[in-house]
Amino acid sequence: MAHRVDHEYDYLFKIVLIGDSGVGKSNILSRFTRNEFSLDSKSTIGVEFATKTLQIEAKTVKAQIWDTAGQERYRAITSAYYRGAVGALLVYDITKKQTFDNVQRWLRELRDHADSNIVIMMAGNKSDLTHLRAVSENDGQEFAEKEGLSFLETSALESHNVEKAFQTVLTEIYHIINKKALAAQEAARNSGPPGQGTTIHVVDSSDAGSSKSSCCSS
Amino acid sequence: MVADATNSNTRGPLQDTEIIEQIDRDVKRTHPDMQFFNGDSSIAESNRVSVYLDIKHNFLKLVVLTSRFSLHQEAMRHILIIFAKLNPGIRYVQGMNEILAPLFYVFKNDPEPNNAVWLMKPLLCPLLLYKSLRLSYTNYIGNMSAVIHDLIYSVTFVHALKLVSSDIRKLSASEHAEADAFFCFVELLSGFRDNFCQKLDNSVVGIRSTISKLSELLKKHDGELWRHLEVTTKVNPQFYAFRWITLLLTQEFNFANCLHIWDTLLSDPEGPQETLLRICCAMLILVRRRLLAGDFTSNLKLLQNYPSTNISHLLYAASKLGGPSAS
Repeated sequence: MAHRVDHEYDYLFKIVLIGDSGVGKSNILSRFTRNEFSLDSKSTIGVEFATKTLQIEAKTVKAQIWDTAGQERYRAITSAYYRGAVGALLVYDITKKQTFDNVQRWLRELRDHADSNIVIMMAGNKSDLTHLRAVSENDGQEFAEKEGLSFLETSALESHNVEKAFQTVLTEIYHIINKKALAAQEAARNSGPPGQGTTIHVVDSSDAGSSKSSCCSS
Repeated sequence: MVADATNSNTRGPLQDTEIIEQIDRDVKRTHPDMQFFNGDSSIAESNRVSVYLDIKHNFLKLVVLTSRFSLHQEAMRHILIIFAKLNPGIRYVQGMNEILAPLFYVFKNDPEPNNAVWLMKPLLCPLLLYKSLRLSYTNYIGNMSAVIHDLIYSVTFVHALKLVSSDIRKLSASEHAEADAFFCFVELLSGFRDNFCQKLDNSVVGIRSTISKLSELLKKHDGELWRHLEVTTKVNPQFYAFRWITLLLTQEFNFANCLHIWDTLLSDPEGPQETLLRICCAMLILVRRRLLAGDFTSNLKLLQNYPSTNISHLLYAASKLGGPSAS
């Protein structure tokens, strides 16, 4: 019974890949996780799942990536997958203006269904198709700044910036988590002398024998 | 309540273009690894060839209007576009292409003599012309067959053009296959279309309820596996069964195996739904040892990339899960 449960990582981050149909989400995923690209890949129905483990600042981070279907019909189904996601790669196609215009709708989608602290990277994919470009890099950059998103132009075909896009998202998430952990420690320290500090969440409702303090024991 | 959900229905013609674009994209992504679907660009079956006769130079000039689709893809496009037009409540949903593909393939490969292409032989020539053109234009002039010679010189330029374009279509896309596939596609979807309908997702006939039927079936036949999957490792059946069910397993197996499964699926007098659920359930049970040893990640990966398996055995196992009247 070889248990294939692996705990060989420090952090597990869930990332969702979203954006209009045909912008290249699945190829970004396959490029990132398997270093593969296929010009005519099948359309994604529902959701597809892949993982990749990588190093972020000396920590081992396992990225759990959920590649979603782009078509409107699948949105209600796929939005269920946003739950627990700490990062999102929002992809558009630089050769199709419409897919860039729809970024706004995807953002709304994320704001409605995902955690409000989710880290979002906008990726203008197919940057290799320069002769067909319909969205300038500048427009992408400006929009991203306005919305407070990270931004990169990527090419899954040429393997350009794909790794970097994920790396950026994951690093940012890692920093946020770290900061939160620090803040929690800080808060724990400040509340040191009992009876004086502000009371934080003393979970003591139903369990009489409150002997189990599982996490954050410092 | 106003914005997103409804504005798609009020856009009218714009939506038509969007749907056609979506269909075009997916038709090209339907079994791209199979020559039957993607055509063979070296034979230029995918190109519409027009012939111009340049009298002044006594020279045949070919103008190739490149179509982005092979003839088979073109036929699938027609079917999907017409279905979307006739079913405004569903229109086109990604994945319908996958369901259409086996039907069209089977009809197209029907040995029925009506589909023979001998009639069009002389008109094959423009295609051959084009083929040789790719090798060397001048070479072709030397090799010009008597048939094409006659053809070119006996008809007027416009007439030739008309002939060529209409007959090329007939010659390799038998209209029967397109019509037959359309009819069967409509029939098949009449039983499954609720799966494609977003509005019904949460109803008793929608996809979610079908998925929970699968879950119940598994629980009934293999409680341990059910518990491990859904309780211990928290693999929501929606994560894998959504695709299994909406696409009638077309993306889980190779094409030949898929046809094998469909034979069983479509021959059930009770209709395909129950059989489909039994096959899905058998798929889970067949890999139960691996599933029971796996965690969330490995289980989900296994079920989203189902290993190749002996289909006859799978179908046998499925048939054991209950007769036509069960559940």
